[in-house]
Amino acid sequence: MVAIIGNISLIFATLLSFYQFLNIRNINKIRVLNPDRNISLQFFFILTAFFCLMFAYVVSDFSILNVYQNSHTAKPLLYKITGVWGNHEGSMLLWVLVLVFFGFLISRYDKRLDLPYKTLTLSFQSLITFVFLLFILLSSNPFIVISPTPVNGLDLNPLLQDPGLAFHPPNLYIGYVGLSIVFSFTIARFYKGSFDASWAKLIKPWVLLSWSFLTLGISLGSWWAYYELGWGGFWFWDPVENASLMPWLCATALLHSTLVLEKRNTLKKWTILLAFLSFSFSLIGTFLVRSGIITSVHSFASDPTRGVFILMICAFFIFSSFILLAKKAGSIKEEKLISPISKEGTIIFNNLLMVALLLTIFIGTIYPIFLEIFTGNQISVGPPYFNLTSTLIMGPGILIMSFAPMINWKKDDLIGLLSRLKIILFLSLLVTFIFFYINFKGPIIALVGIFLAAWLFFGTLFNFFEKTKYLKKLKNLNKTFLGMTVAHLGVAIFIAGITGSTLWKVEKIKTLKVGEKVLLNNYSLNFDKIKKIRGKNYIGHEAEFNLYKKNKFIKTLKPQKRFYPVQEFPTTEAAIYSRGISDIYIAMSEPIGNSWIFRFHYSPLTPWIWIGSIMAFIGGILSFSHRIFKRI
Amino acid sequence: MTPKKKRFYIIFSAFSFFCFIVGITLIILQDNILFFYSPSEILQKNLKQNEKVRLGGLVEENSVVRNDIKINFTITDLKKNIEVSYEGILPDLFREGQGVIVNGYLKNNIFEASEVLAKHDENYMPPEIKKMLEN
Repeated sequence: MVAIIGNISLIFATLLSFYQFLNIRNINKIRVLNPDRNISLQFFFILTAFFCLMFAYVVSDFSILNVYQNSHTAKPLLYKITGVWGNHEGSMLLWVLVLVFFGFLISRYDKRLDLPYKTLTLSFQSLITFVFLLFILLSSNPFIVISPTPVNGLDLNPLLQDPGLAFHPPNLYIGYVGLSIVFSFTIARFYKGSFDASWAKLIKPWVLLSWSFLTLGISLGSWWAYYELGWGGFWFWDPVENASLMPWLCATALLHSTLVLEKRNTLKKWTILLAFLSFSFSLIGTFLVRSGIITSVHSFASDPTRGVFILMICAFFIFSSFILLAKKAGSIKEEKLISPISKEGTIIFNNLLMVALLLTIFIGTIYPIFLEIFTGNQISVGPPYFNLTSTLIMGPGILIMSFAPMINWKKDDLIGLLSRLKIILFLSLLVTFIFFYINFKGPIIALVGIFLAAWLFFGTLFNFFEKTKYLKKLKNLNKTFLGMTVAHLGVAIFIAGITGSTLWKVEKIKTLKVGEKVLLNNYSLNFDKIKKIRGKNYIGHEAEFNLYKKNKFIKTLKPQKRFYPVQEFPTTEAAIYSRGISDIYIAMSEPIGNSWIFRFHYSPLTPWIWIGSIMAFIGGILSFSHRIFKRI
Repeated sequence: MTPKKKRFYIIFSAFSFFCFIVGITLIILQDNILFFYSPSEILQKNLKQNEKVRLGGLVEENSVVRNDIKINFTITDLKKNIEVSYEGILPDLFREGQGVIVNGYLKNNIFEASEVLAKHDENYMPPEIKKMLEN
């Protein structure tokens, strides 16, 4: 029953989206049909299909193949619900849900659009919806029924039964798919209106929203990897991770170039290019993750035939949009740029670096595919490549990012700028020396990282004080400006976080019996107890460690080793003591006789990675809320 | 400057920027790629001293020997075997009879692994290993 309703809803939505796309022909008629009802219906039907699937998961309806393959009656309710998108079919349905949800938001709440332009935008959005719905119906239908009905399901991969990963895909998808609406806005602009400041104002809030959720989604994923995978790192430079980083970099560049377009009426073609690239990279990301073409530690079982379908979707949207841009580029007129020492100058620099980094990551990610096709050699590109290129490219970017917001549009004088930079330079050097004094065992590059973080932090703060007349004008503070400040401070904290976490981490691997202890920096960890535990769908062991600092008791830490019998799958639940400036991390491995192997980390500044990311997210949302509530 | 000339300069500088980045990238890339070999392949290749490579295959049944955190096991492609030594923590999904990939160096026909990778999904078979077993 549920499967039938789900299937019918999907088919209705497919027809509706195709019908809406056909409306493009009528766009030049005097009376344009309002798309609101069609878009609302699409949203309604997809939502129905989505809830059907969720319902099937909650009541464990194993007559549906997808539920049978990915669920189990003993699974906790939360993971029954989030299990909906913990597999290929369900996650594609979520993707389309977000797609129509954005269309719905635009049609109902974005009152800035005139009817023909809105119809055109939503028709292009419907085309994307249509193509993805076809993909779902033809190759990834979540409502396939099996008979006879199995007694119980095969369960969800236990690694995914975790709050961090439960909410990682929806956030990531809001980010990925939000870029689709920017894409539709851009394509529609080629037929109605022109690429001027008003277009920049239209897409800006949606770019901000997508960017913020991409930031949040990526950091949730990396936080999950940090505590669930038990190796204490947060980023692996794995192809699947890169797939999410590439659209993020592109969206970041787009975010900044729309500023230039809005204020200076130039960089139009560049901004269009970035808008296309951003969506293209979300599609490429989807392709890389869903096709399983690349070996990745995060690869879950995947089906190559689907890859071909997604590759075709990618090629269709990417080529058609780029051909359109190439054909129409001549008719887009730009204002002249005046001076390199100006805000637009720094933003162009930022954009070039972002795109350069994007390019290097892209090459590193797809190079193995090409090499295998042409030479048959199977290779992988190691993290050192990505670490080196990203540090080399982002270093100068951070240097400029610190003072870029202080510079005026059009033209600024160098001398005034340099005098302000003296104070910032002094403060950052001071901080670097303090770090050098209290903790220096790492390589010199760590100090460079700390310096860059401090440089960005003080630069942003200085600008904030200056623009608010030393906090006197806080009342009518512009939210966009506040958002930018919070986000840039977040990046500074984030940089300090990665510096500490990658370069100052202390790792110990020890085999311990109950009663033994291990020393880690100023801390002592006493292995006190080990006991058996039993959860709803797992069994396992839990160790108890008492954490002392200079003989003062601080906290009991309880790392776990779980075993999920249905999938015969062990997982590691790390125990983390976070003080705000450093983490003590314990992951439990296997028993040897009556002792156990543990991995201990002392990772300074690691919490700052998440604090910085959350700040960037909040900054983005602040800026978004300002733009959206002002006009809508 | 005529518009035509200007366009030429813009395209020219964009193109050289692009080439510069790609060039630098490929140079760095050359030093950081790891070749993947099966046990049979690795024995045929004359690896350079200290050339880091990836070795993949199945963990042979009953081959895992532990000595505290030192672990020895055998990787097989069902034709040839390679003994691997590793010091550290094994991933959760490391099991005998399962697919595994190790990164490290071959020294005197013993593979010294610096990393052991098993995948996040018990049904998942790394494409390299799948292809290897099919041949």
